[in-house]
This record gives sequence, structure tokens and C-alpha cells, in this order.
Amino acid sequence: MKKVKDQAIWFILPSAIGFIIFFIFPFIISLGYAFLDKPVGGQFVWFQNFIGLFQNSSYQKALRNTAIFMGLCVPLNILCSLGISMVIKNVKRYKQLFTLVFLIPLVIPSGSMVFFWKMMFANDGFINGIIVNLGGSAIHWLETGWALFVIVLIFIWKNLGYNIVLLIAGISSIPKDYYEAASMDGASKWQSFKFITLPYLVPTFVLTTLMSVINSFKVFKEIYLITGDYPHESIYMLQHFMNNMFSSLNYQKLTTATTVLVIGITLITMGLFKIERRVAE
Amino acid sequence: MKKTVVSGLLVATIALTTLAGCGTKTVTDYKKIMDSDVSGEITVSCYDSTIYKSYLEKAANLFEEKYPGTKVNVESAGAMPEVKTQQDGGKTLVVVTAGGNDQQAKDDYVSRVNTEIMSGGGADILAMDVLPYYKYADNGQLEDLNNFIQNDPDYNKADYTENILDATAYKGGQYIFPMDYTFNYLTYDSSLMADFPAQDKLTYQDVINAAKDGSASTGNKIFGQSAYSVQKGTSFFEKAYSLDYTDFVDIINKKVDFTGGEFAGLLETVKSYADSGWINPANVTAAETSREMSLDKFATDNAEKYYAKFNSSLNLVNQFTRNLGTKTNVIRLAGSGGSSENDEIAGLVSNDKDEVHFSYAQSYGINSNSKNKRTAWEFVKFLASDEMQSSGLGSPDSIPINNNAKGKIASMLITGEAMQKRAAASGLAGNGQEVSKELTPEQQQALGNYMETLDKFTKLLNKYDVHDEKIDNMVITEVKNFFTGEKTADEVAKTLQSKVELYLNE
Repeated sequence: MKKVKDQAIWFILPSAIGFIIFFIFPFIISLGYAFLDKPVGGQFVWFQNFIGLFQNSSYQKALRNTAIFMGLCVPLNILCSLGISMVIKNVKRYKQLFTLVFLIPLVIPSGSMVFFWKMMFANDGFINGIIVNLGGSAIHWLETGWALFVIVLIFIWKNLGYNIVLLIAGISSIPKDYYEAASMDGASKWQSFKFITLPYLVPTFVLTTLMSVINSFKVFKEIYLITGDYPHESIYMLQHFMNNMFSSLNYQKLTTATTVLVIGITLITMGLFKIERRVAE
Repeated sequence: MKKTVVSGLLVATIALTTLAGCGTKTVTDYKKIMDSDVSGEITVSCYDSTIYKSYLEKAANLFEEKYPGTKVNVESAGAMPEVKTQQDGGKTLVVVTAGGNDQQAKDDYVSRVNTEIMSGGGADILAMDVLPYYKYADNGQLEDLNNFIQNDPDYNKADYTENILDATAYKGGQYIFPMDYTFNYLTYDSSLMADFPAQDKLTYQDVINAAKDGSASTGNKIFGQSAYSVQKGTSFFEKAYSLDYTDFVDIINKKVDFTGGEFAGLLETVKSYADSGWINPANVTAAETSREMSLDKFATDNAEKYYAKFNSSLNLVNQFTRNLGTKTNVIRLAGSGGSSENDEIAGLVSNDKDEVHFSYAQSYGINSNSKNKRTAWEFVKFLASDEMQSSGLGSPDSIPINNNAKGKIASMLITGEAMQKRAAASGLAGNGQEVSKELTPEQQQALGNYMETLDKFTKLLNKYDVHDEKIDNMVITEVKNFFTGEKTADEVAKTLQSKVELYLNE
């Protein structure tokens, strides 16, 4: 056992070194800025920056929006992908084709994808064209409260395939014998779904939730490309705040916000793993 | 357990090393700085490559001669301006399009300077052409020039236009030193309204009241401006907006008020002016096409008559010299036009708070990271010196901040010397006509009258607004939706309120 452990270290080492040099070390350095009043020749100010950050109205807005966005996207994404993967699982033919279709959005570069969504939702875009033709009045999709739904739609469209693949793998790994035994005992389809599929998918759910949470932070790229650095207030995310802090050279606020984010993600991850362990037991 | 302690210690050590050295704040001793010698190398960085660069390069040469052992590097990032000339019947039309009107290039320059400053470096002197100086001042990255002024026995306050310097102070500190100032004044066409009551300060409403009946019967527009124009800084909307700017955006106190009704009211008012035929309708076509200018278009524009016109202080001298037969040049700012033959000075535009705005063409700040602040300050002072300011280089049309240079520049403008220099600087051949540097008695008289008016107007200037490129761009982009009819005034106001609020409170 000890030998295996020793060997494992050598396999982990290359990526561990890279991770430490390019992620951990810069993070620790940036942590230093979070406790200074200004980046050059600054004074140590304890938690002043953190207090300031939580009092900052733009940050509060970003925090709230990110939470709302995650609260909408993560469950919605898992529900949709679970539904679709169950359907794909039960389809008799062209299984791979269906999976592939949902994977396509993942491999389309953001740039070209953004172009498509802009065409759809622009003020004189495709959807407004249909609405106007049907006799309605055009909606400013990206400059009103609708913007949040547009972004949720884009997020789900983009990340559905990824979760589907994970869930199909999870579903496939459930031994067929369980279902057979259940049907022998007279269980309905719904019952076997509820008592076999769902419980056995819990580890996969934890993984997909985690990936969705992380991916929901990545949606910034698309929002930024569609609406710029100051979008409608309902889709102003934490990343907007951090990106803007970077470009306006406010390193203290930037690093403070990063620190809070890292702590937040760590807590979420720890919480999810705890849930998984409890359910597994 | 052992492992956790070790890694914990490791993290703590690294964290402490990064924090070490940040504990003490050094207090800069300006007296000591001012007692040191002017020597060594400094760098000046600017974006603009037209006015700033030529002025700086000339100044750098003269400065190096005056202070042996110094070296001044000039860095500029903007593209060269596009200069197109057309000639017809002894007239030359020069259209200068600022090549630096590229937003991406500007943003790149700003972020480059930001990064340099953040890493503790950057040029010693920063030209405040596109940089958001108030942010630098807030973050302590610009020197308060008062520290140098107070410790410099050679600095004579009376040499500079005091109210201009005072009005450019920010939160009690003098972070920028403007080299010059420009302001707008209104003129009225005396052939259309002979009895217009000219006064020192007036409002748009005064002009409209005096001209609206005439305008209705003759069909001439009151103002030549478009209600809105994609070409920045030229529309009637922007003029009216910047007049009440601090009501909407108060950068110093981080207050934003677009939704209070005043802004929507302003949009509606400007639109109603266009609808009443008092100003030109909004121009919402692409900036590139609206910028095209030809001699024909120039001539048509010149034949147009308007009741009143916005004029820049650049043209103020022409008001006094046009009957002298001296060769003068008319500087046509983008967006203005019309015959200026019968124009008389109507007065300065002020808002309801009695504020009269001015602006500058050039100004400079000193980087707090500079290792050679003594030389940097001396160079800034040199840029504002009589010698440089009366050289007729750089921005010869704006009014020098240096009081001694004002008269010299004015007489150069009157004799036509300034114009020749400018033609030479932009690579145009002169007409071979030598200009006399001596003033004729009539010219002497014109100079006296001009200086008197200039002095009177200068004393009335009291407001310099801290603008932010980013906010200005948000406004101009969003307001377009109102003039194209895509959004109502309230919708535009609401969008701007949330965007600008987000930006300012970040």
C-alpha cells in the first residue's frame, strides 16, 4: 500500500507543481493586497477592504444577481438534463446521435455563439421580428428584466450536454438486476425511478451540481460578449464587478472579491461533499 | 496532523513575506525634493499625437538645452490624425480628423498606463488627455501639485490664470496642471436680429425667446447644431447636457440622477426644438459618413444663416480682426456651420446656477511613482512657461494659462504669424507671403479690444466638470435610442441611471 502511495506522488507531482505555481502562489500574493489600503506603498488595514466590499452597492447587486442566477440555473439545468437523459436512455435507436446533438453547444466557440444569440435577441432581431409580425410590440430583451431569462436560456443551452453525458454515465452504471428485481416485485416505472435511479444517482448529482455551480461562474464570457462591461442591472454578475475592478486598477477590491469568492466556492464544495457522504451512508 | 501544521506554516510564511515592507508609509518631503537639482531622465506619456506630441517634443528639446544633463522622453500612443486638404480659388480647406478617435486604442492605452502605475512604474508625467485622472487622484497615484507649488520659490502664482487653476482642483488638491483653456460663447447674426440684447452671460432660452418669432417667419434655424449626432461632442443635446452635467452625474460625491425627470425633460426639450425647426434634426447615421467634408459642403454650410451660433474661444479673435483685411483662418468645429459674416458676440452660456464652463486642450499630472519628481515638476512648469506658451506651437488656438503669453499669442494670431506656423507644422506650403510681425495701428486697436473681451470672459469662467469617458460614452450610446425612436425618454433615463450607478459605485 505504501509503495502505491509513493508512486502516486510522482504522478500527481507535475500537475501539483503547475497548480501551486500558477494558482496557489498568485492567490496567496493577491491575498496580501486584500489587506492593504493601496497596492503601492500601502498600509495594512486588517479587514477594512472586506467591510468596504460588503457595503459596496454594486458588489451587493452582483452578489445578489449571481445567487439568483445560480439558484435558477443549477436546479433547472439538472432537472432538464435528467429528463433528457432518461428519455435518451429509453430511446431504442440513435442514442449516440441524440447525445451528440446536446453536446454540440459545448464545442461551439463563444464568439460565434454570441453572434447567434445577439441576432436572436437584438432589438431588431429575429424574435422581435416574429413578435412584431404577429402584431405585438418589440421587447428590449437585453435591456430589461428579460435579460436574466435570456442569460439563463443561454446557460442551459450551453451546459445541458455536459450534464447529460454525466447523468447517462451515472444511469448506465446502475446494475440492471435492480430494475429486474423491482419489476418482478411489481414496482411501477415511477417507483423504480424514485427508489432505484434517484438514490443511485446521488454521487452524479453532486458532481453535476458542482460542475454547474462552477460553470455558472463561467457564463460571464457570454454575457460580457453580448452586453459589454455594464449590462442591464439584473445580469450584472460578480465577474463583471471583478473584471471592471481589474480594468479600473482597483486591485484591493479585486483581490478582496476574489478571496470572498474562493471562500464561497470552497464552502459550497465542502457542503456538497458532505451531503454526498451522508446520502451514501 | 504534522502535515497540516507544516503547510499552515508555509502559507503563513508566504503570506507574511508578501505583506512585509508594506507596514510603513513613507512621508514625502517636498522641501527636500525641491532643494535637489534638476537633472536626470524623465518620461512624458500622452495618448494624443497631434497637439500634445508636437508641443511636448519641442518643449523637451528646449528643456534639455536649458538644463544640461536632463533627458526628456516623449511617448505617444494615438494614431496620427488624418489631414485632408482641398484648394479652390485661393482658399484652402484643411480637414483634420483626429486619428485617435478609436475607442479600442484609447482603452488599450488607458489599461497599459494602469498596469504600469499599478506595478509601481509608469511615465513621470502623464498627459491627461484620455486618462481618468480623478480615479488616479482618488487612489493616490497622482501628486498633489500644491506640494511643489508651496515649496517652489520660483513659482509665481500671478503668472497663471488663477480662476482656471482653481476650478480644476479636485477634492482640494491640484492634481492636474492645465496648459490652456477654451470656452464656448454664443454669437448672434446681426442681419437677422439687429437688436439682440448682448450680455455677459445668457441662457439658450434667452436666445430662443429673441429669435423664435423671426425663425418662424424666415424659416432659418435658430442654432445650426443637430439635435443629436453620433459624432461625439457636436450635438445640441450634448451641449445642453454638459451645461447641467453635475445635476445628472456628480463624480465627486458619486451621485447619479437621471431618473429625477430633469434628464428626460432635457431629451424631450431638445427633440421639441428640432420639431419646432429651431435646430437641425437628429443625425443618427454612422459617424464615418457624417464626418465627410468637402469644399462644396463647406460652401453650402457657410451660406446657411442661423440666428445664433456656438463659437469656440478659438475663433474669438476673428471677431475683432475680420474687418482689418488680415489673413485669418476660420476654425470650424465639427457640427457647427453657417455664415459668420454678421456675427456679433452675444455672450457666454451659463446655467441656472450661474456656472460658466470651460475646458482645456492640454493638461498634465505627475505620477506618484516618479523617481525624479523634481525634474518632472520643473518640466511641467516649463510647459506652462512664457517661453513655451508663446511659441505658437502645440495648441496655438486655445488661450494660454500663462498670463504673459496671452498677449503675445493674440498678436501672433492677428498678424497671421500663428497661422503660418500652423501651416508649416502640418506640412502645408505657405503662400509665400511674408507676414509682418509688427502690428498696424488698427491691429493694435483690435488686439486691445480682443484682450479686453478675453479678460472679461476669462474672469467669468468658474466651472470645470470632472468627466469620465466611460460615462460620456454610455450616455451618448444610450441617448441614440431616444432619437431613433426606439425608446422613450424615461426608458433611456432609467437605463442610464442603473448603468452609471453601477459604474460609479463599484
